[in-house]
Amino acid sequence: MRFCMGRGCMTGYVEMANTALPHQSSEAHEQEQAPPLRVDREGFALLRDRLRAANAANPQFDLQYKRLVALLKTAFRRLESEFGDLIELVVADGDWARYGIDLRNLPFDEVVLLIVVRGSERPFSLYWEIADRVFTKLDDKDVLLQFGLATKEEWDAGSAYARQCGVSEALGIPLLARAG
Amino acid sequence: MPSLPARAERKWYYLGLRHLRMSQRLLRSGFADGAVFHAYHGFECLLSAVIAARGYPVPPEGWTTLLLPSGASVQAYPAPEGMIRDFNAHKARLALFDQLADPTNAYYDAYDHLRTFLTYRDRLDSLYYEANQNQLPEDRYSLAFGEALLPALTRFAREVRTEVP
Repeated sequence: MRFCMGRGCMTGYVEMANTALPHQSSEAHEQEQAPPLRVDREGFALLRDRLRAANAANPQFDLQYKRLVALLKTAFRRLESEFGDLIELVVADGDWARYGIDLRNLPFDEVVLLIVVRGSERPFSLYWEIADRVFTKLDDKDVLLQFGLATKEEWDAGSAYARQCGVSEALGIPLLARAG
Repeated sequence: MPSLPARAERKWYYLGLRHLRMSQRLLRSGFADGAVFHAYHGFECLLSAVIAARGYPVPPEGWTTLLLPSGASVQAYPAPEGMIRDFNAHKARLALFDQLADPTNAYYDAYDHLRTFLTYRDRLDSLYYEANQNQLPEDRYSLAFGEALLPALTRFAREVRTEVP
C-alpha cells in the first residue's frame, strides 16, 4: 500500500532515522558467528501454494513452476558463493509472492527478490556487483529476475512496523535465510 | 515556416537527457529520491529511443488486438520475435528493447545490469510513502546512491547515442 508523502508522516521518518546502527565491532562479531544460509523450505512451499492458486487455469503450471524454481536456485547458489558473507535473508517480494501471478504472464509480471544485506549500507557498487555476478547471466528469456536491496536495520524496522500494523504478509516470503 | 516534427527516436532520446538533467539538479539540491525518480524515467526514455530508432512504436503506443486460440482477444505489441502481450508497459519496453538492441554494442552491458535492479518498484518507492513498512522515499535512496547511479545512466545515454542519428 502506498500513499503520496504527507507532512504527517514525518514523525515516523524521524523515529526510523533514529534507529541506531550497530556498532562496527559488534557487527563484525555477528558476521563471524552467523549460521549458514539455507533454502527456506516452508517459504518455498508457501510460494508454491500461492502460485498454484493463481494458476488454477494454467495447464503448464507444474512445468513453469519447476523452471522458475530452478532459476531461483541458480541465483541463490551464485548469491551464496559470491556474496554469502554479506547476505542475511532473501525474500520473494511484491505481488508475485503476496497474491501469486499467472506464470503465463511472464516475463511481463514482476519477479523481484529483496536481498537483505548485513552491513549498514547498500551502495550502488553493491547493486552493480550483484547484478553482474548473479542476475545478468541467468539466460532465461521467459523470466526476468530482478532484485532490490535493504540493510538489516531497514528490514528489521520495516518488519516490526508491518507486524505492529497487522500486515506481515506484505513483507514477502523468505526463500533463503540463515539457519538456526 | 513550421519546423518538421522531430523524429521519434530523437524525441525520446532528448526527453531521456532532460530527465537525467532534472535528476542531476535534484541531486545537487539534496533530493536523492526525486533524482532516482527522474533517473528511472531517463532510463525508460533511452530504451524508448532505441525502440523508435528501429522503427517500432514505443509502448503503450502501437498495441493491436490479438485473437487467442481460446477466442479471447488481448492487447499486444508487434515485435520481431512475435507479439508482446500488454501486461505492463514498462516490461513491454524492456522486452521490445531486448529484441531490438544490438548485444554487441557497449550500451547492452549497461542495460543488462540496470534492468535487474532499476525496477518499476523504484519508480514507486522514489515517489510514494510505503505505508506497510513505514518507508518514505528519502529513507530508500541515499545521495551516494544517486551520485553513483547518474554517471552510470549518463554513460548509458552516451552509448545509446550511436543508435540515434
